[in-house]
Amino acid sequence: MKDSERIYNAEHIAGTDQRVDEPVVRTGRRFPRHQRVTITQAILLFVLVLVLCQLWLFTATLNAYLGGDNNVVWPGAIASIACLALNAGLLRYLYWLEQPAAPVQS
Amino acid sequence: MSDQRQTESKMPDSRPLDVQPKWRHDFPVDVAREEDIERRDFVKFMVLVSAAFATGQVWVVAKEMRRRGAEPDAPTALAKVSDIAVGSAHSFNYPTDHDPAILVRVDEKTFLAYHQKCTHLSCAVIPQVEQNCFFCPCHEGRFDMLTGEPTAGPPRRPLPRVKLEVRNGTIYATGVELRT
Repeated sequence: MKDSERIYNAEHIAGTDQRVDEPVVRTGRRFPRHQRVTITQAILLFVLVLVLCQLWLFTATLNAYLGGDNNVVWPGAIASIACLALNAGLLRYLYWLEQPAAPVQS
Repeated sequence: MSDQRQTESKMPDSRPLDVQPKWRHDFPVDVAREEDIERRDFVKFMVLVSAAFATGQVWVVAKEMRRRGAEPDAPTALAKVSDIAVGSAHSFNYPTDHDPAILVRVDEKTFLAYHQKCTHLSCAVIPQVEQNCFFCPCHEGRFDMLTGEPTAGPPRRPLPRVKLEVRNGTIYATGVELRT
């Protein structure tokens, strides 16, 4: 590895086994890997729960609609679209996590 | 390159690549990157599923608006009272040609009509007057003849009831009552 690829970055060392004076590979990410994994798993879990809520919402709304109950149609649609917006926002955040951070001076 | 991989990737058991089994040398996957990408792709797929559910909800709203804008069902003559014997049934379509329904004469003065589609998976229900029920042969669902409520099998919603009126010896369908 070239010297230019090595940096001394205290942020990357935090929470790892490496010492401060030890050169680390520059990952160019906003968080160290173990933090990104935790965030990703949390987002995955949250998205799963929201999708399950949407599934329940859709079956309940359809059942009510087919039974002639119109009161839940609009609230169900609004809630489902809100869940979709939240999911899309979380996905966008996930991509943002993977983007390289601003360069760090060594 | 291999030095870089060793530094960047962590094997699942945290040991260096040199002491890993042969198959890991044959398939030198960057474990760290692969894990992240797989989960991200899964989240992307779940967001697509979420979009599908939201689209379904919007579709229900569109159907509801269309139903609201439709004109009320016009009364339709079904049959003469004298044409239907006690314990017999008469098939008809109401309010459109795509809505099969069935009229049953339970006794001298009682006429009942329901949509014929089972509320489970839309199979045609069969009237069984002697057992006082409608029977769905697809999954052995049963509906009470007097109320249309499900009594056995997978259906959970009652059959939509067709409102009837008898005028001058003729039976008219005047509307449909959807029920949960």
